[in-house]
Amino acid sequence: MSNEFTYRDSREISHTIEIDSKDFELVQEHEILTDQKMQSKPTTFFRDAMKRFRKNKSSVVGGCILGALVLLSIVLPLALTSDVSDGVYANAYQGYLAPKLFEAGTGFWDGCQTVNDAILTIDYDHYQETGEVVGMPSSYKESSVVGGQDGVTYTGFEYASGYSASAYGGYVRIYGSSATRYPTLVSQYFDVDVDTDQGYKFEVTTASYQDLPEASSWNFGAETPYMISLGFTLGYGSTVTTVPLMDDYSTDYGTVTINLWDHIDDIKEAIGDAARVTNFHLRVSCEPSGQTTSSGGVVAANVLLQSAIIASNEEDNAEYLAAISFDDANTMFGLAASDTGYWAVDNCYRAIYQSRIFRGSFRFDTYDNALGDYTATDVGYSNLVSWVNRGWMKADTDMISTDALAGLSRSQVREVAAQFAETIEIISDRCPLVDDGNITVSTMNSSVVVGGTVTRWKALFPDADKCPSYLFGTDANGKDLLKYVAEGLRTSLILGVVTFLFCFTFGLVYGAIAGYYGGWVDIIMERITDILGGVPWIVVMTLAIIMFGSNFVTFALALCLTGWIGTSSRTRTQFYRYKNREYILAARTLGASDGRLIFRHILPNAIGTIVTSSVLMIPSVIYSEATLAYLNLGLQGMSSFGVILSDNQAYIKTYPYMILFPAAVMALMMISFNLFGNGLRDAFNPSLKGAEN
Amino acid sequence: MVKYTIQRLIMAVFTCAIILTLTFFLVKTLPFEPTIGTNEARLAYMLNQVSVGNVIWSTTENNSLGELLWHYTQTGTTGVTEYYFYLRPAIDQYIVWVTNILTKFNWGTSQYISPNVDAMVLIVGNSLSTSRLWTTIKVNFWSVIFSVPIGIGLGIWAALKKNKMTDHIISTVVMIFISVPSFIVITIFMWLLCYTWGLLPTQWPSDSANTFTTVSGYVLPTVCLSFGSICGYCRFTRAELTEVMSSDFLLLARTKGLTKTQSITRHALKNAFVPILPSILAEVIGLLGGSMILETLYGIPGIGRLYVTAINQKDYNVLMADMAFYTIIGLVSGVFLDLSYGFIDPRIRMGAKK
Repeated sequence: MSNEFTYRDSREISHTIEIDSKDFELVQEHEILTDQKMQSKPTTFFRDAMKRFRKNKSSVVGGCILGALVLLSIVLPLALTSDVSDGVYANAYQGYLAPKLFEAGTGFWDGCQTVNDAILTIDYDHYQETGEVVGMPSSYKESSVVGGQDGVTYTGFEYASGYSASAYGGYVRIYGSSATRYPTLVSQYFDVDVDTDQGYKFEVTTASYQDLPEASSWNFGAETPYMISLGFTLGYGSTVTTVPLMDDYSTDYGTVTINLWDHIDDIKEAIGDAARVTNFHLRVSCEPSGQTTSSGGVVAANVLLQSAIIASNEEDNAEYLAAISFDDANTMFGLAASDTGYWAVDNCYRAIYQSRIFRGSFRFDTYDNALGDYTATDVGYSNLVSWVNRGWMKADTDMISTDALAGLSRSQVREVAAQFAETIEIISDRCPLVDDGNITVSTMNSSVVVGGTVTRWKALFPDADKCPSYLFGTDANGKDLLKYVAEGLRTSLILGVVTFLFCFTFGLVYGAIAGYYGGWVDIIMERITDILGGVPWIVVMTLAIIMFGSNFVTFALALCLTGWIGTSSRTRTQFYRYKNREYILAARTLGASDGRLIFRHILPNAIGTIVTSSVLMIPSVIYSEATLAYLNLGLQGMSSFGVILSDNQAYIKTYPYMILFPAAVMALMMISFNLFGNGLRDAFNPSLKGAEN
Repeated sequence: MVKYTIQRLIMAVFTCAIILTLTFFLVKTLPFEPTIGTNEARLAYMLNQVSVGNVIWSTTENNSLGELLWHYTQTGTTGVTEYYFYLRPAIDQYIVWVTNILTKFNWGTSQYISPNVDAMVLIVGNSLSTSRLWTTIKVNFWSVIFSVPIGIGLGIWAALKKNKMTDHIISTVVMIFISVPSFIVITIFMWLLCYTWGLLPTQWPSDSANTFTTVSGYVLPTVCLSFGSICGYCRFTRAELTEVMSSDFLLLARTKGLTKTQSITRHALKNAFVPILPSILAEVIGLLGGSMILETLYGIPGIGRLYVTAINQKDYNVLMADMAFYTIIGLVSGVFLDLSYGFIDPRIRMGAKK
């Protein structure tokens, strides 16, 4: 039999096909066919839902983030140990440390804090000569300013009202205590050689109060002319004789320079035959206006004195004269009467006007500022002993113990101190006491103290091998914010889960009964939930907290009071859906009890939907707790998100990181919870998809 | 319809009465808070409590009258007067309280916030400028004005571009803002707008502030309140419109020759708005409630902050009046929501039998 066929196609090309006879045999001709087991596994409702859930990528991501957060909330509080021991709040140095991830100076998340318009300590002489402000912040450690001198940006100056230690320049205003006497500012006595011309010069700078911009509000009284005179006494305790140096009472405000030699004849004449006098003082006074106010008080005579410099050609005198003259009114004003360079007042009061405070902006390393090196006069005996015991340094601490020093005289203690100083040797870099050659051993009240440069973090954290750094910074109490937030997360999650478990169980039973029995049972139970659901939850919470205090149990109970309503209504709907199905009818016909129908037949079918719709209760509980904390009703004595956020709300302006980091973590948690919950609900309930998200 | 309306109203009044009764007795289980301050103020408060019937005044000690709250001996021009104040039983107080509300609309007087002032006056105020309620309404008004058109507009846009990039972006942003709690949004906006950029006042401006400050004071509350509402409306509108868009009658509209625009504006939107409009109306009533957190954080003197102050200062009469106010708002907006369905779409007959 030929099995070959030949045909031509449309292009007239010949093809040959060969067919084997085997191709015509029946495959299963002699086989017995039976039912086969299914090769693929049957899928369950749960597995199907999980498959749908996995397809929803954003929900999977949300779930992963949520899982990571839960894990962190458990691990972090245990793992982070650079915080102070639990329950004890940190020392003052640890507060307000900025978040640190990178090295200081990188400009972002580097533990540095920007300070705007802080008071600067400037070189005022340099400023007067060049008009350029060069200075460092006055109340921050110089070493912690990022970029040092160049890192400080001068932002301007302001006039200080009254004396300020950080201010510069300005005017001393003297004003009369009596309508007739001459208000006078008097320098200290200084020696003058009256026989040879040594080029003594007095350079006095005055100002009219009318030149000052704020003058109109100062009520200076009448403008008065001023005079400069030289005063001297003829022997100790006798009356002051003055010689006017400026003949006319000047109204020409500004800088006046007076040469002493021009007036020396007048002085000699005034002295006459009396003993030679070489002690002089400079007096600046102003003429009293003689006016009185309507109430009989004094209209003050005024003069504003910017500087008064006494100088001489003799270089030997320069330092001495510079000390008693002043070119910075504010600095002179700050001196005590016993200090060299103090100018006393006579017949008058004095005040300081228009001194300037210079301000600048800069970034500073909060860690170095708080935990870096500082100079200690006494590092403490117990610290020394512990450092020696840890093998960081060598010192014969027994020599200076209280017992060893008891009964010794002061000189003996000094002797011991000298001997003790010989024994000190810094071995390790880890030793808080820095071996920079500035270690001092001194005696204080019959005890020996050791001072020097101490690195604070090495002393505070004996077990740490580097300066601690806090990813989220620390709060006002010095608590590690990362740890605090993790603890808050844990508290909030536990509260959410506990409340969820209770509400879910109760709501399930309640809804099951209402849904299964229906009729008047349902009507009554529905009215109860209507009324309970109608009470604003904030009212329930408020009353519970006022009554029982805001602790964890009260919180959970109060949230449970109305929290179960959602679950119960969902369960009720599901029961209505399933209770008339044929399989239930079949089970009932077979004599199944109500309990068996509810728990073995209806509930397993309904539970997936109910659980997944109720999962979102957890974030809503966390939200409720945080809301209450914002209303000052939060959990007391526990850290939760709400407590952290509301406690740190006050620092939103100065330390925004304190609130931004917890807020970010909370937002992340809520978002991932919602993503996860919505995805879960959609997976279990495909018909609802898109309806509520 | 009329019957249903009456039914709903009676039901609401009934529920309200039960809720208020419950809260009244719950509040009365809290310890009685005597007014602090001068003896005269305390005496005035106590005598006021006597006049409203919460407390009994006796000139002699008589422990059978109840729990002794305060004993005060007043020495005046007319001689010595003894005051023994006893707390009446809670059920008596309740009857007096209900009678006062029904006959005189008297909700009791404040103890601490502004002593001896009527609690309802604290909420409603004597004039618009002192009215806390009016302040709250003013603040919330603008957020409705902005959030309704923006929210619905975004929702429609997202629904029309369903499953395209626009929809994904809008839906993601909406999801984020719905998830993030309002106080975090407020805090971040305050930090950015008020403190970092310094564009807005950091606190609610006082009455004496100039016009510019007053106007800029509204910006932050409006923005913060709007965000939540915009997201809510957007999500709701998108969901409703997508559902309507996939319905058969819209397909019919297209097959009979309507353009896409015509079919959407004439058929889809009209149907989608049936559940949206009532929710807007309900929210307009809900405005009266305001936002406690925003008012507390931004220092807005509205009824939300009054509530918080009343809780913290334990001023129970004010608390009760404020609670009643919130409860009534909640119930009224619920009733309104249900009733308005029938007005907007006569096909829907609420409460009708099957």
